[in-house]
Amino acid sequence: MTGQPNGEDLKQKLSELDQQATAEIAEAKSDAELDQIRVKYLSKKGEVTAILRSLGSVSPDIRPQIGALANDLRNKIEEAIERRKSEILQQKIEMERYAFDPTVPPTRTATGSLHPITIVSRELEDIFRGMGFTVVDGPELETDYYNFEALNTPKEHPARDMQDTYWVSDILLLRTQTSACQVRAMEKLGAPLRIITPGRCFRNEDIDASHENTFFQLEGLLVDRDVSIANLIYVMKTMLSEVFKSDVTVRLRPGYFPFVEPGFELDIKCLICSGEGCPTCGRSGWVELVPCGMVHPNVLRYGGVDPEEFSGFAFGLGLTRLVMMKYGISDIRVLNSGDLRSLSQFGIIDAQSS
Amino acid sequence: MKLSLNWLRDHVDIDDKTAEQLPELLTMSTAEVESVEHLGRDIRNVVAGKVVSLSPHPTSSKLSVIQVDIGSEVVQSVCGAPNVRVGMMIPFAPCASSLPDVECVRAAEIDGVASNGIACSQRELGIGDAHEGVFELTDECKPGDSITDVLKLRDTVLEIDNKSLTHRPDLWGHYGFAREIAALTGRPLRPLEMSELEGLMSADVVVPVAVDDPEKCYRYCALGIEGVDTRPSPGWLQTRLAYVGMRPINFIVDLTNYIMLELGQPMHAFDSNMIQAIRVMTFGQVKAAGYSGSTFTTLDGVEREMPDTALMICNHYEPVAIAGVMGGENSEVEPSTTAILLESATFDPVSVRRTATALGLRTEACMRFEKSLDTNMALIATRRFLYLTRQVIPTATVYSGLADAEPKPTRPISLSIDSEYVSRYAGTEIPPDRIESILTSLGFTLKRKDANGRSATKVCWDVEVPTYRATKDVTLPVDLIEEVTRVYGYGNIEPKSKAVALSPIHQDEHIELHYRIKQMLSASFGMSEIHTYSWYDKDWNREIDHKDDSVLTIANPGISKYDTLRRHLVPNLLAAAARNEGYFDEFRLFEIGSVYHPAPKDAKTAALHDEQAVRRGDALRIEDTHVCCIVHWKGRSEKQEDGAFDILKQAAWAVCEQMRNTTADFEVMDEQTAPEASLSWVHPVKRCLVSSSGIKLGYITVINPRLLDRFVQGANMAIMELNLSAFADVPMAKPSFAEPPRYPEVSLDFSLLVDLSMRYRALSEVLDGFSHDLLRSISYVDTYTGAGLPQGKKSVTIAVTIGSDDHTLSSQEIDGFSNAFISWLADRGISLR
Repeated sequence: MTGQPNGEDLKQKLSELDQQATAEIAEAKSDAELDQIRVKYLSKKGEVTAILRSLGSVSPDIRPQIGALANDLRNKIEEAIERRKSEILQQKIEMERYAFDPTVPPTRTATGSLHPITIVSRELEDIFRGMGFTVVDGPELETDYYNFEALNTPKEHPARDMQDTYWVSDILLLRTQTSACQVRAMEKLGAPLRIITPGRCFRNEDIDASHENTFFQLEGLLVDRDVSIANLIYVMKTMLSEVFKSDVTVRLRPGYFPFVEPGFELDIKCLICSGEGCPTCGRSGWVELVPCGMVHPNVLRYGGVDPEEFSGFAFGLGLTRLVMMKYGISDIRVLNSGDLRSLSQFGIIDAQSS
Repeated sequence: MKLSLNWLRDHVDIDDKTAEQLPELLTMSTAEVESVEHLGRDIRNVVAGKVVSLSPHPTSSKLSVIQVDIGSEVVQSVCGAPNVRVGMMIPFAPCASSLPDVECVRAAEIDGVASNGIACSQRELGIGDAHEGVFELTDECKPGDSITDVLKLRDTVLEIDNKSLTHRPDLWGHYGFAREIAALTGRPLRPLEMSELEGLMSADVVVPVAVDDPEKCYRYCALGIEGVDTRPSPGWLQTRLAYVGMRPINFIVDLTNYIMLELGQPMHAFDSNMIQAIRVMTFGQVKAAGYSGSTFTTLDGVEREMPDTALMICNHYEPVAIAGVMGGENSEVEPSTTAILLESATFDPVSVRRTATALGLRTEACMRFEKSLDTNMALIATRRFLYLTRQVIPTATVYSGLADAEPKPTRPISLSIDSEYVSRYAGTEIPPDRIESILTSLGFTLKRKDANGRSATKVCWDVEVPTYRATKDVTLPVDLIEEVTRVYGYGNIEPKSKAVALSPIHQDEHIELHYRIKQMLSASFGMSEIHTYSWYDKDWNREIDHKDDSVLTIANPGISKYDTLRRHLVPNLLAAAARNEGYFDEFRLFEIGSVYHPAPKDAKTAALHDEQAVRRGDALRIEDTHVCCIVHWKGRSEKQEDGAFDILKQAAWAVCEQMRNTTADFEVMDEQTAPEASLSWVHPVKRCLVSSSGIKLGYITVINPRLLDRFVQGANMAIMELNLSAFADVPMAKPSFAEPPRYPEVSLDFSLLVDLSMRYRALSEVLDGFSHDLLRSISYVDTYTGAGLPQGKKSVTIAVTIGSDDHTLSSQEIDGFSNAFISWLADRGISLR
């Protein structure tokens, strides 16, 4: 075609483009299709743009009219595209409203678990750290010296009968109690000090549902000036109230351990029956929980601490027993079974939140 | 130990209300009462009966028919007891009466003869095991008397936890507990009834005593008594013994036991015919004196190999008893015995304990001697014995007066305390009068001292500790605190907080480190923590072909296959993995725990001279903390295998990165230099050593395929074991800060064709040699070994980051860098893919 474009032809063309674009937009199913339609009609090389570009060669008398028509069409297509996009989105939302299920369980990455002893030990460590105690550790393969001798339990002391010991040599043994860390801690840290030491202990006995040859204790030791029995009761009561998340009632009664004087057994009022008496507490209303006592002057001396200046108290918490109480585990053998059916149940949560 | 309430009541008044409170009272202030048993309550209407006639049973030769006078009537009964005879006084349970095991005795017909009651044995009355014959009553009684009264069958027995008596020799008898109860209830303790000392001296010493080892024998009292016999004990005495768990035998033997249970002082009676002169010496001394043989036969009929250190009681140089443990068969009281030599002695507790342990013979006597007895009790017990003997056999007389050797007498101890000290230690104000009354009631003697610059509240005392408490238990002022506070009542001490100086609390790094690693392995790597035993199961180790060269063993393991302490965590974790295999397709396990081995020889010899190192055990053993992880999955594909290996490398990397802000190094494990390579579970190829900052930590391996099929079906495992004690020495890298790049950096990927056998570590070392102004870093992306590569080659893709501090790079600069890098690579024989 040469010469000036005919005004009528252009109107005709615009009208065709209008119909064509409107139909295509109505049939479009996606934003991408609509974007292609926009390109086809409205881009630099688009068909509506081509008409606008050709206006220069249109006779001036009809130029404004054609220009206006072309701009209207441009705007109309633009709006139609946006409207259609909005419709498509709306349809998608409606479809999702119908089909989207937010209640399916999430896909899970493999989750591991901590041993319940780790969880409860950590909880206790946190409580004691909060009370200004240092957490220390000591060897499991201990010497007679720290496990017995320095704890005022010389060879042939009848109290050695209380603990069936695994002997490795005349000197080496598998520690029977975390108390073995007492003198080590005093030697290392001096007085005053306040430490706890959780760890594995061993007694040579037959295994059944309530006996293990391998178990965990948590030993505590506080040495300072003028430490009294009243202080011991306070710390025990505070700590146990934290552990059990309730205001526990404690009582002390005499207990014999060669490394403390006086020595106590600390009982707590049974939390299950509130002291009324139930099978758990053997109908006594009390549960024996923490052997403890005032550190024997000889033990302080072994630790290089002057008993004239310092006194202190020590306690030995049965960590394994506490774990069984907290989680309602009735068979102690579960703990060393390595059986994930049991052990993976504890997750990695902090016992505080359980 | 068992306590009879009737027995305690001989020495202190205990009303019914106190009796009810007694278990609580003793538990809270003295020793734990483990159980309370009410005895004799289920015996009703059983009476003393006299056998008035006896005839054989018409059909059964083992039975007889007896007529028994029970006061109100004469009753016929069929009786199987061989010892029944006319005139005998017996316990008889007529119809409608009750026995512990028979709720209601009924009339019966036995082989056609009417039987209207039971002639009872001791067992039927609940006072012992004797059941061979009917129990003959020797106590004063008449037909129809209630048997409960005659035999004192109604009693309450408290069982005390022996462990809480370990330090209290005085509480190993009823009298000591009576003293406690007197102190706790404020009632007087009755003085012990006993013969006067003069009575014991009424005859010359016929049997002399010589102590040849005065270190092991603190005191030896011997008294000869004649005119006695081995009749059965009175019923009430038999009841008491039976109720506290001691089998009645005959009056002489029973009385020695009775006094031991009353005073805590073991005694022994020899047949007088066998003893002319007592010598107390060790078995070694006996042998030196010419005794041939190395054994001794105790009165239980067992011939025992004797250690030379054992202390023996000898007649001249002939052993007749093991001191403090058991008498000999050669001198025991026989049914024909009419005179005895009574021993009441105090022996060295350690010596008795050693001998008893060596012989495996833990007798009631030895349990008491090893608690450190008071030598004064030896004489008191002798006087008490003579007194009680004469209560039963008034004609008993002393034929050999008291021979008493006392090389090491127990002496009272004197201690000084003051009321402020007591209150400060207790943490509560205890009035001086109360302190005084408590200690006095327990047998301590207090003398007030004038305190210098005396205050209104402070009272000072000299306290004399009675000898029965002074052998070991009460030797320090702090021991008196226990006496005062336990009677004062621990419940009366108010809890008090403690004010302390504010100072930083330093925490032990190891425990924190172990916990954080546990957290990471479980939370980020999906591993489950387990605990396994500290020793191997040798059967299992055989199954997995594992044997360590140098291990520590338990001397007394209980079960012998558990005698070896673990050097590696892997074997026990593999066992746990094998157990879990049946339940889970995929799982990951870990344990953080100790492993043990002997200290190396050279370190050992050097350290043996260092007393501290021996005391600490450092000269003898090494105990390290290890972490072991096992990844288990179903399937055997190469990809899974490499994936699992990679997970463990990630874990090792994360440990180094998160705990020490540093990296892990993975090196090829060389057979020649790495002992780990020979462990049975280590793969011949898929394995590596792990180290950080030049410190060797451990290794990662896919399980050896030769081992795998033995216990795992269709699954596979990868293993890591790291030494966390070594890791503790890896230094913490300081976090460093660099400004973020001001101009955008560009990352370029290059795929390098290298020999299949070239390890990345070697390639990385080559790349380290490249330098360029724009180079910022080079990192590994991946390795491709699939199709489309030249034979024997692989393609390693690396990402090279470049940038500039002062401008944005132009495309010419980027191209220039690429060209320079590529030609540098080409010079080193590395082409691009």
